[in-house]
Amino acid sequence: MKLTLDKEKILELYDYYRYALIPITVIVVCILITLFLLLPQLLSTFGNRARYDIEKSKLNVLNDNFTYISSLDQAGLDKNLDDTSLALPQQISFDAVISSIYYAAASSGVGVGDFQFNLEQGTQPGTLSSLTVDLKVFAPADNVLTFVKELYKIYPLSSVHTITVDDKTKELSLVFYYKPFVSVISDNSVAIPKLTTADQATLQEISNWKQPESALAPAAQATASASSSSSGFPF
Amino acid sequence: MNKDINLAGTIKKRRLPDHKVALFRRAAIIIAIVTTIFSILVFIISIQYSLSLAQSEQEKVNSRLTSYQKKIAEARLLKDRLGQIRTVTVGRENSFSQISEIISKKPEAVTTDSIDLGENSLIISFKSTSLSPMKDFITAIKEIKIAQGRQIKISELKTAPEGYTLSLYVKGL
Repeated sequence: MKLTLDKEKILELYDYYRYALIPITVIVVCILITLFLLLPQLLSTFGNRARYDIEKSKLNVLNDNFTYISSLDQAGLDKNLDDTSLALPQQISFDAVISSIYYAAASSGVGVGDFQFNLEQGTQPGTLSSLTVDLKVFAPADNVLTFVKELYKIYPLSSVHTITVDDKTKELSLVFYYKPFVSVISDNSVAIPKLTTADQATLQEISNWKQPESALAPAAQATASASSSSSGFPF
Repeated sequence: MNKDINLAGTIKKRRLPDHKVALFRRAAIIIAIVTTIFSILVFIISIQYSLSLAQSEQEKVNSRLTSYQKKIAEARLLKDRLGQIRTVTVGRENSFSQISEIISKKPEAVTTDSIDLGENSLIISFKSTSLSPMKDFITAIKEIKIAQGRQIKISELKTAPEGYTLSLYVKGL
């Protein structure tokens, strides 16, 4: 079958549809726009929804970070970091350790005997390193506890691992902690951890601790007076 | 004989009926309106979920945050160190408060003889010249509220040359 379309036929068709040409064109154009522009755009938008959610949550984190960090007081932050660095120093200071032992001993009426230092590096990055001090003390058991209580109020951070108090021996194994500064995450899209009430309480607690430097003077005085009154303070 | 012949008049022009033209017009108007509304909706949705917009917003906030780099680093360090300090202080507070609580229950006639604080346990011994204060002490110890996962038990009560000794074993510090 041969389809022929001559000029007359075209003119005839044109005449027939003349007054409906514009509406037909509009309908065709609208259908084309919908099929080739709007639908692909809509499908691509919904196809990227998962990625968009990720980007949006990143943006929310960034906004949160910005709001939080711009509300922080620089002076307060510096002070808090100074306090935590005193409590958990970057490196162990033997002077500070000895001073804190002196001060706690003087405050609790405990005589300090032989001691031994044992340095332990944190094995994993970010973990605490520690200095263990094995210490012999001369005092009644109750005073040993007062010594521990006093030690817990002095920089740097320490804890008692073992206490052995009996008639013959009074030995303590004290652990002093330190931690070098680690490189922090510079990715701003990682949420900046906010200080919780527990953190605030810890900050409040450590800000009341005594500094080992200030512990030196009263400790020295106490030791001097103790050694004049008793022979049991060989430290 | 000069007679004009109207050729146009002889051709019968065919055209689409008016009611069909009107139908086409109405259909075109409706489709145009629907397409316009749909376009606006697609535009709004595209803007709403635009990846590039979200990314450009991120860049803006990021660039604002660069001026706070020192503060951010300090805040992260502070949080990290505080967490580790708290772990130690809470641990030591647990064992120390337990020792203090037990000792605070002790009558005056009872004295602390030995304390052996291990990794997770504690053995604490007391002595007394008579049995009566030791009995009061045991009653008082029973009233101590024990934290979950912790155990306090009397491991030994015996006579000694100077009187009586009592040993307490605390587990789960």
